[in-house]
Amino acid sequence: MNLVSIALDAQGASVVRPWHDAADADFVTLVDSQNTFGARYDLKAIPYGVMIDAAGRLVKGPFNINVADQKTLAMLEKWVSDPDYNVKLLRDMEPLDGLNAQVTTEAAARFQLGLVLLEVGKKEEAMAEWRKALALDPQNWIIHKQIWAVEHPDKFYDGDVDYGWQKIQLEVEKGKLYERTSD
Amino acid sequence: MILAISVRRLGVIVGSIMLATTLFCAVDLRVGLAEEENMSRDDFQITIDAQRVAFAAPPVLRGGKWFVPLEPFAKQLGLKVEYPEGAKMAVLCGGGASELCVPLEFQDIVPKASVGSHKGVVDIDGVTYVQPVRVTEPFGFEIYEVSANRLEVIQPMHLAPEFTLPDLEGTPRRLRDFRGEKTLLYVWGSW
Repeated sequence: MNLVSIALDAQGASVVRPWHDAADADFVTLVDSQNTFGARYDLKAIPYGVMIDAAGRLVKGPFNINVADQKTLAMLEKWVSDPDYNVKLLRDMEPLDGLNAQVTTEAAARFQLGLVLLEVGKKEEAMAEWRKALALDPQNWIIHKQIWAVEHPDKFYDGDVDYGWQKIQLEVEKGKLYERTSD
Repeated sequence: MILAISVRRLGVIVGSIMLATTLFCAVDLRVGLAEEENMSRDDFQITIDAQRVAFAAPPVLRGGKWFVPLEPFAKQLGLKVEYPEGAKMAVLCGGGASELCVPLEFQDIVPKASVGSHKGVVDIDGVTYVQPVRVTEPFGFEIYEVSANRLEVIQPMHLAPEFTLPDLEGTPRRLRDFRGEKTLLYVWGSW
C-alpha cells in the first residue's frame, strides 16, 4: 500500500518539512499550498483520509480519520489484506456531490485569491480576503486555521502547537461575533 | 506533536502491512507466470464495477492480444452496436447525453504471433470480436490490467479525482502515478 500524506499549508514546504522529519517519515508528503486538493475534494477540515484502490478508483472518502483509533486501523488492515473488502467498499461507495464540483463559491474564490496574495507577499490583503471567505463559510476550518497560523505563527511553529490558545481564541472570536450580531 | 506521533505510528503500521503485501505479491507473481504459460481461453476475465462480464462465446488470444465478443461487452458498458447495411463495419453508440458513435471496420484476423494491435473488429466463426481497448478508449473508460489475463474496466465516474502536487523537494507528483497499489491519502496541516 502507498501512504501519501498531503499537507494543506498555504505557507508551503518550509512549515511542512519539520513535521515530516519529526515523524521520521518514509512515505511521500505532498504540499498543497494553493488548496488544489482541498478544493478538488471539497474539504473543510482536517485530518481526512481518502482510500483509492490499485485501479485508481475512489473506494472511501474523504472521511474523518483518527490514526490512533483501533477501529480505523483494523479497517485499513482489512482493506489492504482482503480483496473482497475492497469490492464491498467500492459497491457501497455513493456518488459524492461535492467532488469534482465545477461550481466555485464566492468563499472558495476569496480563499483562493488570498492564497495568491499571500504567495506574492501581500499578507494583509490576503488576510482580508480570507476573513471575507470565512464569513461566507464559517464552518470551514481550513480557512479559519490558516488565518490563525499566518497571524500567530508563534502559536504554531515555536515548538508544539498551542491547542489551548486555539480554544481561547475561538471563544474570543465567538464573543466578538455575538457582540456584532447583537448590535 | 500529536500529529507527528500519529503519522509515525501510522507509518510503522503501514510498513508492516507493506512487508506482508510484498510477500503476497511475490507469490502472486510466480502463480501469474505459471498461469500465463498454461493460459486457456477460459482463464481470461474482464470485470466492470467488480462484476465479471459473461461471454457466450469465449475470448480468444491472437498475436498476444485478447479479443472478446463485441456485443455482450458493449452492452455491459451501456453501448449499442449497429451494423449499417452495405458497410463492412460495426458502429458503437453511447456515452450518455452527448451521444458518441464510433465506427469499427471489419478487418481480417491478426495472424498468430504477429505484433501490434488491431484497430477494427474481426469475425470469428460468425461472432464479432474486438480488442477491449477499442471499445473502452473512445468512451472514456479506462482499463486496469490486474494481470495478463485479467482486466478491470473502470468507469470515469469511479476514478478518484486527479490532481498534481509537489513533494517536499518540489517535484510534481500525479495521483495516477501511485496506481498499481492501494493508496491511502492522509490529509493534514501543520496548523
